[in-house]
Amino acid sequence: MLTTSKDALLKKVLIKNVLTIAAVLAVVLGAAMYLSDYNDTVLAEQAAKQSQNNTTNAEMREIEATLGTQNEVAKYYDEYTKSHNTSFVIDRETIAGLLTSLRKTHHFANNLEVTVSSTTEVPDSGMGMKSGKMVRSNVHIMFNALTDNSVYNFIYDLQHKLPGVVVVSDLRLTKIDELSRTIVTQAVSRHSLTPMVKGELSFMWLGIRPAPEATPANGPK
Amino acid sequence: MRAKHTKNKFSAASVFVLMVGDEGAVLVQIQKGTIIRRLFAQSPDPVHVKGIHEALENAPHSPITILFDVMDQSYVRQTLPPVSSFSVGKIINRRLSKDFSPDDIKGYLILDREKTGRKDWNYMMVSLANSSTLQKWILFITERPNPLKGMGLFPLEAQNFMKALEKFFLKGRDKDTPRFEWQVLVSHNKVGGFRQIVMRAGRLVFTRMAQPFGDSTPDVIAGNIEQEMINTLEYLKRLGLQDSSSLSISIICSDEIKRALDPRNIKAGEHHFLTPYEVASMLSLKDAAQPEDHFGDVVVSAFIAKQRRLILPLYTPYTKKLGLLFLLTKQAKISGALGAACLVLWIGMSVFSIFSTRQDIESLESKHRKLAEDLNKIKARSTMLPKSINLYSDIMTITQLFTKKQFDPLPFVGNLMSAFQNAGLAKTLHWSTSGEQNVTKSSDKREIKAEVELNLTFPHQIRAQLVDGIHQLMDRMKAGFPAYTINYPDAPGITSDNADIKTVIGDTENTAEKASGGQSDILKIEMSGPLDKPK
Repeated sequence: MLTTSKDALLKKVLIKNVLTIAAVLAVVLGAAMYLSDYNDTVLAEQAAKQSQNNTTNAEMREIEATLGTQNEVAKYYDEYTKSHNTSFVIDRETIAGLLTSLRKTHHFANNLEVTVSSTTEVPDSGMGMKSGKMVRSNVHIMFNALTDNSVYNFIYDLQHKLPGVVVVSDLRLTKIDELSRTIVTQAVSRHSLTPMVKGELSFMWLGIRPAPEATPANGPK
Repeated sequence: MRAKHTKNKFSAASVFVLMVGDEGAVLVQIQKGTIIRRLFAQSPDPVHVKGIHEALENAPHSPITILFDVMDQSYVRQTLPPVSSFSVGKIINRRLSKDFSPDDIKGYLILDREKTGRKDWNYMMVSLANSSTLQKWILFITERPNPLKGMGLFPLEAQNFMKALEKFFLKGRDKDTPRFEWQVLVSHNKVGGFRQIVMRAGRLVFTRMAQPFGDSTPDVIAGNIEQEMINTLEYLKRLGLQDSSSLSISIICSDEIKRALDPRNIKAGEHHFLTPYEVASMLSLKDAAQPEDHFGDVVVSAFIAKQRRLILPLYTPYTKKLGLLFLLTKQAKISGALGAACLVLWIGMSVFSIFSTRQDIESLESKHRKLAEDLNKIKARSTMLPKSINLYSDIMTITQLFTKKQFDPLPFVGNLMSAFQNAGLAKTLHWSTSGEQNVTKSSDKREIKAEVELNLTFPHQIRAQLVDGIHQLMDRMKAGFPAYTINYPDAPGITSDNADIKTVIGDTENTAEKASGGQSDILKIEMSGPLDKPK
């Protein structure tokens, strides 16, 4: 029977090789797992940074959008208030004062008969008011004027000088006299004006009653 | 030990073949297809194998193949009943251990399976007496560091050599030339003697060894070969050789013997008497032989060394164990290398990913710094907006709504004045909107209604003028208020289609003309709109 130490030697070599290979593989595997783990950490960090950036971006876009709208609003308001009353608070005392002044401006003869209904809240129905509630009052005015043009100017002034919005729903004008020498003479001699037109005007007066918490400290611009 | 320091750095690229016979052994080392070393040892005694020992130690990683060309080997053809191909090996192994001595080196080759009848298995059992000389040779080789590629029997492994020779002889001949059924090779081997190998239809059927007589002259040896051949042919007749013309004989021997051989003494279809040098040239075995070489061992060994694997690898239990250990070591290295390669690839991918992600993070961080800066700026800008912005927004919503709706008497009156021109002066005007005023963004279905009484100021004493003037006025009205329905009932001088005509017919001339003089100069106009439908 052939027996040498060759097989024992080969076994030793095999075991040595297997152990060496296993050791090397274990070290490399350890390194690979460590790096893979580290890679996961880095990837998570990347994801976190990305999501942080996304959040900031979204926040910025939102502010930008709001800012854009608000700028537009501010610009519109500036433009609007150049020709209109800056206030939107409707007040039955205000209208009396303004009508007195307008009566003089437009040389209305006799008295104005004015009816201002109580202010009522208007249902929002999709308008999306932010600063308060819409309120309305119905106003009826009976007047005698020199000419129809003075009536139109009166309406124009109402629309532009009263706070809020004036939405006319009814206007009646009737000529009661023709312009004649007599009327002119009377006007010059007696300093009195003879009305040539009488009329009635109905309009909805629409404004905003500010919500208590939204009331700005310094009032509208 | 000395060999370890003088390792051939190309050792892995070379292979060894040790051909062992009764008269000694020949070692051939082949590197890149060229024989770089051939050594002879007459016995496995340490004194004789010194050179071989050195050669092997110099190339410790080169695998070695052992070919046996000893006398004492036997080949037995057998048949087996038709069993499944899975169990045939087990049955033959049982037969081998029964028929041969346990110490013999044995193996078997399945030749074919009968196509007809019971479909028996045809196989050949091979055994080699494990003599003490053989054991010494095996021990000598297994003690070397070189991996043992395998052990084979020279006559079996030479079959491919014979086929290669036949292929060479057939080269250039017609394709239709019938091939010789019987192939005989006689190789004068240094390690044994005259090895005869007979193949029938490409399969080994017979082999024997003839020993030369002492120091004979070439003529004597040639005569000896011829005599041995005649004996062999006689025996082949028992195996089925009917016509010696179906036989091709190749004899590898020295040039002197070749010249002494007489083809007329050997009955065969064709004869090829070749020197080892001629064979080496024919089969492109570079440096396998020199012109003066006498023996065929080296060229045949060189040819077998070039084969990918042995036809029948044989093992002793010990060489099997060693082979397994070599294989395991090799497999362990390969698996280790593969595993390491995968892990290194994994590491590489991770490192690449880490670096690229780190770069990405840096760029994200710099982006974030910029974003934060921008955000602060924009926040600062937003704080500069008026505090009442919500009120402004509401004012914008409401005023835009009513601008859009266009229910305003002033532009209406302006339009009306333009349409009237100098045709009349308004006596009364009633402008109103139908229905309740709603404050909503939804579309407003209400209409404007207006009634005007006009004092006509154009000449209207003649009816034609009156009608003409009214029509012109109405044309201007329609142009000025394209979206309105405009009616003028009871217009002076115009009778509507559905009204009755009342007039006085008498003697007075121009009644109609004069009647118009009594017509009213008031024109009443009724308007409603704007309408949804296009005008």
